[in-house]
Amino acid sequence: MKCLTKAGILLIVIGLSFLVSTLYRSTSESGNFGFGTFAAGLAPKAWSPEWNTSHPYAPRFNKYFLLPREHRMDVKTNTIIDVYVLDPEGAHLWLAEGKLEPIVSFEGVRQQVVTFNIYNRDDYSFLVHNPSADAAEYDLSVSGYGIETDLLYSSLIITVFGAVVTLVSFIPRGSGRRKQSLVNKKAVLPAAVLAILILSLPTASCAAQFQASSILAPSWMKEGTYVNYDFTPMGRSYSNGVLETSQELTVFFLNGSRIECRNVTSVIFRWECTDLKENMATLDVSYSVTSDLASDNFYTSTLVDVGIANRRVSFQDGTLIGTTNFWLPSSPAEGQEVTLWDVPPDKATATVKTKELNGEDIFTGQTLEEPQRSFMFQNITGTMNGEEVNIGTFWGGGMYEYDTGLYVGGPIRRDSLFTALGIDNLDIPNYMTTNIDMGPAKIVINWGYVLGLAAIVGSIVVVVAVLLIKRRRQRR
Amino acid sequence: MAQHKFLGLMRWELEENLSLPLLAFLVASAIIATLINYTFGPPYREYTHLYFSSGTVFLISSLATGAFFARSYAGSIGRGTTKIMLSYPIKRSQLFLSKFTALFLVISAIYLPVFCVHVYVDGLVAFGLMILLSLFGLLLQLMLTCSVAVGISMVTKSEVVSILATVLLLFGLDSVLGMWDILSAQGRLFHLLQYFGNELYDTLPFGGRDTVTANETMLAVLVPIVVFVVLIVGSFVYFTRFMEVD
Repeated sequence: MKCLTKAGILLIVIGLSFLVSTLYRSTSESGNFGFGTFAAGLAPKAWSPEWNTSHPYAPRFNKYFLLPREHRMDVKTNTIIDVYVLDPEGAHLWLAEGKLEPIVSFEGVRQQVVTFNIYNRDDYSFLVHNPSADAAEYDLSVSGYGIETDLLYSSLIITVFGAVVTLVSFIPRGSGRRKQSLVNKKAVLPAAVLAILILSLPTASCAAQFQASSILAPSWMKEGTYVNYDFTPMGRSYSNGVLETSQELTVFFLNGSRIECRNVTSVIFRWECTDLKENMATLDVSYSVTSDLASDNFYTSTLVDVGIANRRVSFQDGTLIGTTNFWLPSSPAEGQEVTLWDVPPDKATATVKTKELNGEDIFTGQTLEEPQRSFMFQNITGTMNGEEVNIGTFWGGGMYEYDTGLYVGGPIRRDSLFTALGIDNLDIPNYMTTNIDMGPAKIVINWGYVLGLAAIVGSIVVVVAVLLIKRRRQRR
Repeated sequence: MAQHKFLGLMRWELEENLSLPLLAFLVASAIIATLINYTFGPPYREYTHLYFSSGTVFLISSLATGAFFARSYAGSIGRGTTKIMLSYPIKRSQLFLSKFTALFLVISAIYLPVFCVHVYVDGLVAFGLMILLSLFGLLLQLMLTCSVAVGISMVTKSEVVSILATVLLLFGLDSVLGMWDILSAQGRLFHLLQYFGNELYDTLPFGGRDTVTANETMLAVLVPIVVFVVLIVGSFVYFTRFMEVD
C-alpha cells in the first residue's frame, strides 16, 4: 500500500473517530447552570448588572463557558424581563460603555423556555433587564443540547480530506502499459472509501407515568415520633495548605435581628410529636446551638399544632402560621400535585418528581445512613402571602423519602416550623436521625470494587495456571 | 553500526506491530477515549474537567498499551519470531530495547497529543501547568502499563494470557482502589492537580476534598516509576541472561 493511501486512510479513521465521539457527546446535557435574584429582586427599570457609570463598585458579569450547540433557557419570573446573551466583546462593551450588543436577545419573557444557538466555544454572559414597574424576582436555568457543531465540522472536514487523499492516491500515474494495468485493477479500496464518505454524511446530519395511590396523612406520626436535623456548619477553608474548620454561625431572626455564635460544635433542629389527637399532632419544635463558649449557646423551642394531613401549622392559641413542608404526601405518583402553602386565599402547589432524567428512581443518602428512594418537587405555581411564588420561594431541591414523604435533605426554605420559632432560614442539613421507619434501604453493591477484585484474582490465577501448565509440560 | 542496527530493528518492530490496521485502531482508541468519557461539568474553564474525563483514557490506553506490548513481546516469542531474529547477529539487549523504544514512543506520541484536545474542548490554556501535569499523569500510566505487560509477557510467554492478565490486573487495581486513591491512575492525577494547584495558584482545584501533602504526591508519582524501573530492568535482565527462547 502506498504511503499516500495509508495517510488518507489514517485521516479517515481520525475523522470518523471524532465523528463517533461527537455523536456520543451529543447525548449528554452540558451547562446546567442557573442564576437568579436574591431577596428583593431586580428593581423596576433596572439592569443586572448595571454598566459602569456612576456606581461606587465595578459591575461585572459571571462568565459561562458555553459549547457550540443548542441551548435552552428556562425563565421563571414574577413579572416580565428581558434577557440578553452577550459574547466577551458584548460584555466588555456593556460594562465599559453601556452599549448593548447581544448575540441573542429575549424581550418581554415570562415563565417560558426559550432556545438559542451558540456558534463559538467561548465565555458568555447574561444580562437581565426589568422593564416593568414592579421588582422582578427571576430564576434562569440554562443547559446545552445536541451536537457540538465545531467538532462535527472538524470531523467531517478531516474525513473528507482523508477520503480525497485516499482517492487521489489511486489515480494511476505513469504511462503506457503500466498505467493500463493500474486502471484494470479492481477498485475495492476506493469504493470502500467512497462508501464510508457517503455513509458518514447523513449520519452526521442526524442529530418519556406510573399512577400510584398517595397517602396524605402519614401513618408514621405517633406520640414520641421525632426527627433531628443536624445543621452544624461544615465550612472548611485552606490557609497555606492547612485545613481550617469554620465554626462560626449567624442565626437570623424573622424580626431582622441576628446573633453570632462562635466555636459552634452542634446545631440541631428538632421536632417531636408530644401529642396526637385524630388528625392533629402537637409538635415540640426546637432549635439549639451548642458552643464551646457558654455565652454563645442558644436554644429556643415552642409547641405547635399541626394537621397531619393538611400540614397546617398553628400556635397553641390557634393562630395560623402556615403550611409545613417537613413532610409531604407519601408514595406520590410522578407529576402528582402537592400543596406547599395553603393559607386562604393563598395557595401554592408543585408537582412531584420521582425519576431521574434517565428514568431511574431518585435515591438520596446524603443525610441518611443508607440511601432511600426519594422524590422532590418542581413546577411551583400559586401565591404565598399575596405574592406569586417561584422556585426561589421554597428553594426547590428538598428531598423527601418516598415511603414516608419525610423531608430528608436538601434546601428547605420559609417553612412554618422555622416561622414558629421566629427564625429565618437554615442551611442544608448534614444528616438526620429519626425513629421513623423508612422501610428497606437501597441495596448498594459496589460493582466496580467487586469486578476489580475479581479481575485481580483472575489475572493472578491465569498467570499461575499458565506457569503450572508450562512447568508440567517441561517435566514431561 | 550498532545504532544503525538498532534503528533497523525499531523500524521492523513498527512495521510488524504498528502497521496500518493496528495503527488506525490505536489512533481511533485514543480519540474516542479522550472525547467520549465526557461528563459535562460546570460551565467554566476548569482544569478539573481533565480529571473527570480521564477515566476512560486511562482504561483504554492501558488496554491498548497492554495489548500492543504483550503482542510484541510474548506474541513474537510464541510465534517463533524472536527465535528467528536471534539467529541473526542481533544482541538480545538490542532486540528488547528496540521493541520497547519503538512501541513506547509511538503509543505516547499518539495518546499524549490526542489528550491535548481538552485544551480546545474545555477552553484551557495551552501548555498550562495543569495540562502538563495531566500529560505527566498519562505518561506515568503508560509507563506502568507497558512495564506490567512486558513483565507478564516474560513470565508467561503467551500473547493472549499476557494481554488478559495485564488488562485484568490494571483494571482490577484501579477499580478496587477507586478514583481518589493514591495508587490508582485517576487518584494519581488527582494528587498531582490538587497539590500543584494549591501550591502554585493558592486554590484547590477539587475544593470540596481534603488537601494533599507533598509526601503523598511524591508517593503517587514514585510508585509507578519504581514499578516501571523494577519490572523493565528485571525483564531486561531475564530476557538477556536467563530466558530460553524455544
